[in-house]
Amino acid sequence: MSGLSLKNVSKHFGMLEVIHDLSLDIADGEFAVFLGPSGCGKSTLLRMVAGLEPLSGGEIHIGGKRIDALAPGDRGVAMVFQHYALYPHMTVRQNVAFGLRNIGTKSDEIARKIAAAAGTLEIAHLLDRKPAQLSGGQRQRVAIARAIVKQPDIFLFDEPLSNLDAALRSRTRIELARLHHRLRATMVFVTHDQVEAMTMATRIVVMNQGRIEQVGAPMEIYLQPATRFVASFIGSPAMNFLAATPTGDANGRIMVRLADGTTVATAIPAAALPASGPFTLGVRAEHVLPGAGSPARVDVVERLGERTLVHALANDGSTIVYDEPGDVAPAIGDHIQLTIDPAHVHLFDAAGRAYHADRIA
Amino acid sequence: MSGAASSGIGRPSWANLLFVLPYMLVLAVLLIAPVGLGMWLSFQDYDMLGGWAGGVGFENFTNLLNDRIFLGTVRNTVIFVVLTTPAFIVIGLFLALSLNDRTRRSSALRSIFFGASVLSVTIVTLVWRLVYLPDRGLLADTLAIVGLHGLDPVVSETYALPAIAVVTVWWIIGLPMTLFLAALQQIPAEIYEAAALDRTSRWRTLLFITLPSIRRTVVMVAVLEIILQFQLFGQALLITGGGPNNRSRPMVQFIYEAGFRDLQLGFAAAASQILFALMLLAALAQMWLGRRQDGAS
Ligand SMILES: Nc1ncnc2c1ncn2[C@@H]1O[C@H](COP(=O)(O)OP(=O)(O)OP(=O)(O)O)[C@@H](O)[C@H]1O
Ligand SMILES: [Mg+2]
Repeated sequence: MSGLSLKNVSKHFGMLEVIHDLSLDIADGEFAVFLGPSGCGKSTLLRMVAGLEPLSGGEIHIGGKRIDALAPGDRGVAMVFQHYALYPHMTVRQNVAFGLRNIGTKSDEIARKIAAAAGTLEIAHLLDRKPAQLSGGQRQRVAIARAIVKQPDIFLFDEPLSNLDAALRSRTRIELARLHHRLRATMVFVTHDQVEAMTMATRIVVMNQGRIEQVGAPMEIYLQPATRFVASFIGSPAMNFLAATPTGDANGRIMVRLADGTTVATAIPAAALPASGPFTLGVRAEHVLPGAGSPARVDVVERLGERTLVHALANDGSTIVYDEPGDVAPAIGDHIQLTIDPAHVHLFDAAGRAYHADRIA
Repeated sequence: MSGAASSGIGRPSWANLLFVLPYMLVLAVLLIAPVGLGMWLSFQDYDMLGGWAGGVGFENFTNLLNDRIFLGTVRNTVIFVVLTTPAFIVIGLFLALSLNDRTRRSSALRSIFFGASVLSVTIVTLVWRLVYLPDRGLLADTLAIVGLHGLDPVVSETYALPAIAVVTVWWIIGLPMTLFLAALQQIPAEIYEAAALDRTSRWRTLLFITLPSIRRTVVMVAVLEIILQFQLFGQALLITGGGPNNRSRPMVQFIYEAGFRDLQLGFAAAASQILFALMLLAALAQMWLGRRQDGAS
């Protein structure tokens, strides 16, 4: 039993309010990812859980026990820092053993734990080196080993992959997911990289400016973003946003007209929407289909290898990005026609709140 | 390797010499030439009044090694270095650790401790003469409280040198403190955070995180202080004049008196060579020790 629970947590640095009255429950064994743009307060929140930053208000509980007044070492958490924070003058072995020595663990037990962790993370051959003699990826494994041997209730990771190259990052992602599965420990992982969040999380906490925008499973957040911010932040390329005016309903589903005059018969229940106000229609690139439909002109073609993204300009000048399904992409300046798949559009009201079609189970 | 040579990077170029030439010239005229001259002088019989009376081989050195007063000054100087250098390290480090934060109080205290270094040796010795004043000085008054009377360190064979050491440490503790502060601020905060999460006690943090991180600075301060304190002169001259019974006379005072009072330049130069050799040996030993630990840890 080692869930994490934040209750009305707030934080300000002087006059600057960084975390606003934030509440969140993370269940035992979850892999929770705090995802948000730079400066939104992810690290601050994590450091408050670790005890490295005092709270301005609220409570933090781990496994049902209030811990926000305890010293960092007494909270049952282990942290992997972005820059690893290994002790530079100690060997890898000493680095990993240090925390165990501090609490008086017996030497043979320390040796056993180090051997086990070294095996898991494949660092057995590095144990007698100093951190300066390791590559970034190796240092990162050592930092994880140092966390593992403590057998904490909760692992905290602050962007531990951001210093790795792309190939190593994707490999480490998979290894971390595997590690989580094996240890069944609660993990909290901070990142601004949505791919990391989508691939590893059991639950994603999307943050923006010190507030939680949405908490949900990865696909839930992808398919049903709660706000326009989440919709724009998750998914690559970013969702297309087009101004939309409601024109009535058909069978209880709202119909909207876009700025270029196209009418889209959405699958969103009309009753859910507020009576009036400007709306924005959101649709992902894969749900914009070339062929028949409204006229547009090709502006940019992005070839990504496994897919090709085409940026097209509609009649009214708005940009729409779509996934070109064919092998032959159109050339810049080509005139094409686009249709929006009405089953997959979202509407956002002026406050950014999202309205979706009922989910097809 | 051979590829690098043809690219021009890493290949010595005579043009580079041009940039260091002005410095080299000044160095040669003001440092290397006098050192060479001093070495040459130490093997001559050179009297300022009598003039140059030719080379005498090692006679100046053998005379020195048979001179009880000179040997006493060597002993005094070494004792002084042994008294002050560890004090500079321990007290300097203690001050740096205590004042390594952003509070106003610490910043004020840092300025005060460093402030004393700015004073000239005459002012400092004057202040301490008052402290050491028999019967009325701060030291005498303080000792009187615990019932000790009549202790005047300035005229005590046992306490004269330690009294000068205390003055010296008080005077220039600011420099080691500042060097240690600079080193402490280089230690990344994340390491201390990791240590806090590792439940490291304050004592173990000092021992296993802080000290190893500033070991180079400790060695540097030690070497610096050894070199500086071997050159003890002003404080001793002004507080005790080298007495009582030569018990606080340092080597530099001996050299000064031999050269400038007795005008025996060759003899004084030979004593300088011995001082130089001692300083070099001590500093090398210290650096060697530091490097050995580097490899061992
Ligand atoms: N010690 C501090 N003093 C003042 N402001 C701070 C301090 N630490 C963080 N902040 C501010 O708090 C906000 C949140 O910072 P935080 O480090 O939590 O961001 P983050 O979400 O981790 O961003 P990144 O992805 O860039 O690491 C930022 O606006 C930052 O400027
Ligand atoms: Mg951060």
